[in-house]
Amino acid sequence: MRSIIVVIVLSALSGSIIGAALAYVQVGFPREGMAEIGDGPATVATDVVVAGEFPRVQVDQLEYDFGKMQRGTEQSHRFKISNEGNAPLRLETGKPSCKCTVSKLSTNVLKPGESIEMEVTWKAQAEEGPFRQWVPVTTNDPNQSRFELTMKGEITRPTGLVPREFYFSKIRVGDTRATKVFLMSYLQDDVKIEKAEIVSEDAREHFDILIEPVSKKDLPDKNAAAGVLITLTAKPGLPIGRFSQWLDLDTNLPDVRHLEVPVSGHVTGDIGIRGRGWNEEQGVLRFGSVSSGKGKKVTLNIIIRGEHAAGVEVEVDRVQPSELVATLGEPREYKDQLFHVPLTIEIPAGTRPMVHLNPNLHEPASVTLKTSHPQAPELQLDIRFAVER
Amino acid sequence: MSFVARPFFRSISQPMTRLTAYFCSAVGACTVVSLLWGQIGEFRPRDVIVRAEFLSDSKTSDGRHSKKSPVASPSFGNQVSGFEVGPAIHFVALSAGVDKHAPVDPVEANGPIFVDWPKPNVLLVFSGDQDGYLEPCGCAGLQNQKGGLKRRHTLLKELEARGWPIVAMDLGGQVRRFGKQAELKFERTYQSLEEMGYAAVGFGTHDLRMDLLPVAINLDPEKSILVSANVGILDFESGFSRRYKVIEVNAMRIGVTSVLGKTEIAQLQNLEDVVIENPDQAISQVLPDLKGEQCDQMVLLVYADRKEAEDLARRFPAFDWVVAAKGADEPPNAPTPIKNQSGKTITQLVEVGHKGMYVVAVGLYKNATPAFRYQRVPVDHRFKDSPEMEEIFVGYQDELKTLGLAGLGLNAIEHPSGRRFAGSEVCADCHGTASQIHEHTPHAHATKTLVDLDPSRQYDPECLSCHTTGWHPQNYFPFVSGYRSLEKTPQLTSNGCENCHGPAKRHADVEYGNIDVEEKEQEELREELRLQIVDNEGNMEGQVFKPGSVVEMCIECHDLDNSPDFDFQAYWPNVEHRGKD
Repeated sequence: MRSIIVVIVLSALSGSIIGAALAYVQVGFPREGMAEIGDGPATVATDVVVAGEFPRVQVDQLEYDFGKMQRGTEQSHRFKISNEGNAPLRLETGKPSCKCTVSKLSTNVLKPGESIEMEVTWKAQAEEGPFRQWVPVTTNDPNQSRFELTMKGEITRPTGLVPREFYFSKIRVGDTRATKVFLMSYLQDDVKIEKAEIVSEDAREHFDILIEPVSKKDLPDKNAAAGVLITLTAKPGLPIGRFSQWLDLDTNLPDVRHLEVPVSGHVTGDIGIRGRGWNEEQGVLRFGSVSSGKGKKVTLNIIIRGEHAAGVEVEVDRVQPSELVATLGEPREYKDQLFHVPLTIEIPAGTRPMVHLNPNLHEPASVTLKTSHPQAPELQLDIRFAVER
Repeated sequence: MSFVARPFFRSISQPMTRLTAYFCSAVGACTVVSLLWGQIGEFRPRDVIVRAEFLSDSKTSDGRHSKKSPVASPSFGNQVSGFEVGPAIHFVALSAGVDKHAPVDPVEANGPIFVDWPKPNVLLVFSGDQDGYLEPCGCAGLQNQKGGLKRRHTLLKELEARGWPIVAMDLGGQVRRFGKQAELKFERTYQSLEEMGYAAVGFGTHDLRMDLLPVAINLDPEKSILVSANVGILDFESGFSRRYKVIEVNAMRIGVTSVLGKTEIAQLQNLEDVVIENPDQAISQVLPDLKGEQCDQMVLLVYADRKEAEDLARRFPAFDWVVAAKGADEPPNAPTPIKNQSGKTITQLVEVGHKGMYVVAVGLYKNATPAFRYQRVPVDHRFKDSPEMEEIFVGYQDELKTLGLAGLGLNAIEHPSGRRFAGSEVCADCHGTASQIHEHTPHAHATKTLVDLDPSRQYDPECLSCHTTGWHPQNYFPFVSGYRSLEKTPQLTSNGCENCHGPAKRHADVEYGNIDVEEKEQEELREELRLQIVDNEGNMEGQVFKPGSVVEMCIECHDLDNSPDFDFQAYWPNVEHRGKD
């Protein structure tokens, strides 16, 4: 019995040594990720290894960090690829993740022990911010059939706007509202705005422009060298609806002598209507084509804000044509001075075929609501639809 | 086996010989086991296996390469660029002379996906920062572009068809602009995410500039996809969004919350109907409840840059996955392990890229090694367009058509020069050769390209801005006297002469004799429209964005999204015209 145990132990030991030696000859030590061919992000080979001669790819590093690059500049890096195996290594570059990356190889076959440098060039044409691009390389190394050479970094510009536009969001009609933008230089210690003006002459009277110096510590980007704060104030008098303008700036910054900064917002009344198919600017609800057999129903929300919101009563006054069904739901208070009233407009199944698509050609269709709001005693919703058989 | 071996060993009469035989057999068996072990060790890193993208190319025993395709779906890439059968090798000139309409094999271009993946217990799918790209990023031939909701939906459906339990999460950032068109996109995107079965959707900076409340009201309260720890619609109790969510799928509980980062919050002003809290404080408030849910995995979606996400990952190690929205355009091919001071991995950091070009999938495997697998999925044309998303997209284009430019709030703005547009036909009266050359370039049928698409894009301001004459290319609005529609301004179809040379109506009026001006002004008007190309235009260092250069005007439309191959030196010969003829 004892001899059998000895035989088993000796066998296991010898077998393990022989097996490990053979395994090492074939594949070397186990790898963790791609640690053996670089310290970048890992890809893992899974191919089945067979006995015999085979190539073995090794790369000095899988990822290169270009650091900060100014937009419009170009940088290159050479990755060193070697064949540590005992058979020719074939390399093939694939499509880079971005075509701005150009890779060049002088040969596509490396003999055992040979190495080659692969140059990767990146032109920083993208918007500022972090970037990452890569070139895939496929090989005939049975353990590493594909890897990626990655370049990363951050594109910067010498000048920055934070935020990039004057956005007023919604302004209640008659209100005054201000919005601010920082203009910063990353290279220059002195930022000056020599001229600031709303492009449209008609709109200039509705805006005030204030330019103030800002100390470096108060700038939103700590990397900025200097900057100014531009405050644009929208005054009462802007008409209800969306507005979009440009603020023209002339600066002392060599790379942006002239800047056009978008200005936009939305002047709203106390009562608005929202929902799919509804266009507030035109006051039109579009159903499109509706099958007579199916009918169609749309639910909108009448949004009432402001000091009169709490006491406002809404009722359906009339509908045209009479086949339309308009139903008001229970008002819901979401917060102080904000009420929603659901409004369902339905073309019932079985409605006769009719066309109300173009008010110039067809009978107009509409739903009219009466409200107790002093500024909007009546709301009319134009409805566009066609009922088909 | 034993019924063969036993008679063999019994047939050996000498005890020592029999012992030797036993010994040799045992050595042989152990050698085989050890060899196998060596190979297993070769494939198994100590920590977890992170399989990014690799070819399923293996060698057979006779030394040939075999192509194995364990993936049933054609979308997942059963093609490989094998060495014997692979395409021609192209090492140089990757950027020039490329036919953008040439067929592209997506698997070859962007790699196969999910190769050798066993079915996960749960598949986490992350997307985010779509930036308004409902369709694939750019228009340089769809096969060259990645992204789009139609393809993303097909990906999700194909994964679902495999029986993989999916938890899809989006970090937010659906749009990057504002105004009516952005709001339409925003609304359609939420509708799409709901239809695609997303479990959780966070808020990006520009999302909060949208008219959020009415859109949220239209979402299905049962599905309740809006999740944010630090952004509430009206407040945190209104029910329009949740501060966290637990999704139970395939016997696993996935807890998720999201935050809008500090740097992003700093960019917001004048918001209505939205409350925002500091992300750290909000997570601290939510975390005890989330921990109490006994989740198998916890996810934090961070709409901020990678650094801020990494900081949050370190401060809140309870999250297994921290996902960042504002990293590089292209996500990395592996997650980044975030380690504590003692070097132990506490969290995996994931980036999702921008513009919806990629989604990131993480397969979770309960009680298995590896515990997870990672896949960066290029949303390329291996995924066909989903009819459901196509319907939504067609509806969006229809809405643009019915609203028209006025309905979209796109009022014409003065051209910076203060001049008016005349149209290329007017130019042709005097500049015959240049006009003939223009007629034979794609510029001349730029508008027709939009009309011929299905659905037509001729009502989409984001397309019109580079496919007609007299628009601001990058800000998508018309200049006064610029293109309005095929019917109203037929003379301004195509990317005409004046998009590069500047509006020329006054110059034409003077040359025709309609306006009488001094000779000096006549010459100044001519000079305004002249362009000077310098030697090696577009390739000189630092010249790419030099104000006033010719190439500067080209790249307003030939930008990275829409013309990634653009090279002035390669493109200019196609449109080259010199002199006033």
